[in-house]
Amino acid sequence: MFSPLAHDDPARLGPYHLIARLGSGGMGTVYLGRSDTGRVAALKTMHARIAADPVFRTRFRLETDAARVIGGEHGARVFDADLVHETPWLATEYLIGPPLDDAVRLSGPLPERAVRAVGARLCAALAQLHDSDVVHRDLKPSNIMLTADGPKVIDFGIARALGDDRLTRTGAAAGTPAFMSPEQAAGEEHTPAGDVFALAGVLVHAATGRGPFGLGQAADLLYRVRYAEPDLTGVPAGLAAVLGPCFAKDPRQRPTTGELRARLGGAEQDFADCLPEPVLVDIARRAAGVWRAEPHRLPPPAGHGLPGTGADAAPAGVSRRRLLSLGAGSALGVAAAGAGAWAWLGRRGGGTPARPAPTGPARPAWDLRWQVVAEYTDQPPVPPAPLLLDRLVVVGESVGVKGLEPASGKSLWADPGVLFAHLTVTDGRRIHALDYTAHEAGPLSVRPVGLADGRPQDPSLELEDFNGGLYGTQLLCASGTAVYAVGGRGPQPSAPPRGNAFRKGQSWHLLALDLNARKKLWDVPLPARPDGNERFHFLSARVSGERLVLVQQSAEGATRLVVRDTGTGRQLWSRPLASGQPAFSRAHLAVDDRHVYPSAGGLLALALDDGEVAWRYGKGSAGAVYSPPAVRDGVVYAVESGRGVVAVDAGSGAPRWTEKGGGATAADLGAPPVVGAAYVYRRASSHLTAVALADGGTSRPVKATAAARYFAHPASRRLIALGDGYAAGYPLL
Amino acid sequence: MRRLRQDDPLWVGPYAVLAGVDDEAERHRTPDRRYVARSADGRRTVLVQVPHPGADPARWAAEAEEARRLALPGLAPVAEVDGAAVPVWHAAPYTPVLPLTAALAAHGGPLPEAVVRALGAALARTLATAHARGVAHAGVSPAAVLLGVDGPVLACFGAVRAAAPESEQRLGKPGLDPGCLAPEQAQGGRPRPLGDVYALGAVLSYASTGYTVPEREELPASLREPITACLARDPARRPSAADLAAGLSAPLPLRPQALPDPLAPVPTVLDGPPFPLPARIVAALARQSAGVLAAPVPAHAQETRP
Repeated sequence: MFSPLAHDDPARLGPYHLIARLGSGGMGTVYLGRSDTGRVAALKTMHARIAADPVFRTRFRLETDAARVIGGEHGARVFDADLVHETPWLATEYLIGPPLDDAVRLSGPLPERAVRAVGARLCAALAQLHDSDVVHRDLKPSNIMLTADGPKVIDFGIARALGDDRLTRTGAAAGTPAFMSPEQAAGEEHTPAGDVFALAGVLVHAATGRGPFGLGQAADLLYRVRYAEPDLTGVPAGLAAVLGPCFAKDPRQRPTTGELRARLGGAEQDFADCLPEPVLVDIARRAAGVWRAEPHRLPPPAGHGLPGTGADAAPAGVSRRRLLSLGAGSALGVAAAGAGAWAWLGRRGGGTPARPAPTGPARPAWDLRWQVVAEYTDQPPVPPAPLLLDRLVVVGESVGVKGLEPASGKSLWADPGVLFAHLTVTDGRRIHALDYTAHEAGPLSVRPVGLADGRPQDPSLELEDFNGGLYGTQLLCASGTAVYAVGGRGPQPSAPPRGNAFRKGQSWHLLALDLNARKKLWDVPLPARPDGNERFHFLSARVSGERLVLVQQSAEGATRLVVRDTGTGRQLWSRPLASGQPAFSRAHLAVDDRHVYPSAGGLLALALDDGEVAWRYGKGSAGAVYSPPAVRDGVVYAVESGRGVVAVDAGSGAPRWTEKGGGATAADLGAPPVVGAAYVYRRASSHLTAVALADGGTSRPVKATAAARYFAHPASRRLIALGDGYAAGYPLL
Repeated sequence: MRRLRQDDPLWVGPYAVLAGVDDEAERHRTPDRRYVARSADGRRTVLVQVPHPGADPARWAAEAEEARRLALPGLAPVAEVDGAAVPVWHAAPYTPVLPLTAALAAHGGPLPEAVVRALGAALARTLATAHARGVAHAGVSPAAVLLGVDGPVLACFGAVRAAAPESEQRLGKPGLDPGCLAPEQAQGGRPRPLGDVYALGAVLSYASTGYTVPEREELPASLREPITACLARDPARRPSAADLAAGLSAPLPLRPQALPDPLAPVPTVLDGPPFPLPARIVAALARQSAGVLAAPVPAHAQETRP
């Protein structure tokens, strides 16, 4: 239930001595703390670096206000808060019980009378909020703690006062797609009736273990929330009749909290009597377990105290956040971090989340420079990556997207309403996006995205004969005036029932589009996908000179390296990318003007023109395994298992150097090394190691977690990390 | 939990008193006065006990010291004893517990048969362990049974011995539950193991009916025979604690309604079979735990700190 404190967690916040961590994530950490008078509380904090953003500090304050409004009967009693502290904190009652999603995982779907009892009490909770003119806006199973006295609503991260537009900028697209109201999904005003919609979704989840709109990518969930009927399969008939009207697309058609409460009944019985045995056992264990929590602090990690390193932790082992597929069918174990922890913090598990770098002149050269909240889908169709431009880095995908100043992490804009996933590309100077509204037919339309505001501009090209609304549409890469895309024709799934998939009768094409001439340069047909298949055609693409290099994926998940002529689309050569590495590791593309260095099958160079092996490294060391390579300035770098980084001449394959005292394990080989000006960075168990670029002679640990994905941004000399729920910038040395 | 009254101490030893454990109505049946209390620095929360006014502090402290030394599994732990303080006291780290009397109140009446059997088996095992060491508990009563999330522990060690020296009438001594006093002990006889068995029978009767002296018909069928045997006036006709433990641990012959629900989910994260606590007792324990967590040391205690 509790994780030890990290070595650099504060000793106290206000009157509270910290005892343990209840959970942590990109936004902050929740602690268990004990005051000087012995009162034990859950302390929710926001990272100072995030709180430096006035928008987030305002959000924290509004959350505190909402927690006070809901009070101890339907929420966690608020003890104290310090909202002006560098690390703002909120101390509340420690709630004894599991979050509702964990409870359902623990005991299976709840019996009908438990669902009714939970529902009736949540109606009362919402009514209390609404009476104070507050809407919750993010009601979901992980935001509800199931105590023996009833469900308690926590986490008002995006609650706001009705008509209060202070948070419109970050609030408009906030929420959790699986439990959003249609009006919220459409970016419209979410009123109390929206909370009723979300509540009904929560109750469907409690009764079946699944959300009413299934799982999937945010965009598809949002579509289903807006247009599809809820799936009430498995909901007892009487309950389904009560909940059905709550899912009316028109908010005015939904029952009020009072009406719903009356129809649910169940408020009269003793709440504990409704709870299934496993939940009761869990509550009992938590009631006693909290008294066994002893202050315990982890020692600093290895490498702490090296010259030039400060007292700041890097984000290490931040738990996997499941924002976009929360709830139904989640494969998570029952590792609840504890009552009173907030879901938006990535509640599950300990680890060492990021702390802000200290400000002031003595900032060590290696430390974290900035960190922001950035969310990515859990199971993306292609590897997620930030968009890297000279003076702009875009992080996030659909909710909470931000354009950042890369050196400082300063937010230049946020939430422009563009899906920054597989439909957006940059050539380093401009950003292009495809119009996409999930499952809505329309032309395939490429729009430039404004660098100053992140908003889409007038289309530079529209192809009426392709359907831009089909699942599987991709924008692959941009080079000069050309962009490369995947477009399809054929039937739009009439009702998108089970999410994202290719459909029978569709035909697919790889397209080259000239945006200046506003015309299609060429298109080549792609293999048809079986009905229901979900694999995108391409995992990655790069242009080098007149060669378009693609990592193409078959319907079965096999990957091939395919090179085409950029002028004609003609395929020059192709070869399989076979290895034990997952497909996303094989998707990395290292390309220079002569060679492709594939991410599978050893460390070798293939001639761009004909695919012949130009050289192969380490012929003698049979069985050696390599990470995906990186190439920079005529040198190829890869991590070899057991040895560490090897540097190889890109032209000849001649060895340059091997990391001294390397010793990488197989787990360190999933990602390519990242090349800086003086160091090359690679994974080393849980953190990163920086290896001297000149000779591999010296290496030093970097306090940055290996769990994140790293990208070089040489122009700002930043190493950009995409972690679990956050993006961060480190110096790229 | 009970709010403090005028005659409750603000401090016991180094501990500021937060609340009383026993309800007003039950205090006379409890040999000790029990409180949840907290060290002045707020770090340690304890269950602290002092004797009834009028009890012999030396005898009481000797029993507490013996319980601390024994530290048998199933006995309520005694971590600290101060026999020189006024009043004398002993204390142990707090964990949420309900005296059996409070557990019945929380549940809303007598406990289900399966719970009583589990309770009886656990208490009989504890007594059998003590008896095997040649020790009689001499303080078994409903109030001495503290029900926690892992099952019961036995408090009030030696209450009968502390109440009066041997050969002195014990019936009517303050804090002794007359229904739990074996006839031979009531008359002043030395407390022996079979006296504990008598008291356990009274405790199980209380758990299943609400009364320590049962009407035979009130008792659930499967418990009628063992409880009646425990309450035999002649110690020689009572079962040993070990036999009782074995009998109560044995599974009941399955009846149709006792079959597990085939649709019930299979628990996957349990460390072991948990003690079968009824829902409202779990709720009361969780409520107590939450209440003590949230309670600050009262301001008046700070002002009167010794």
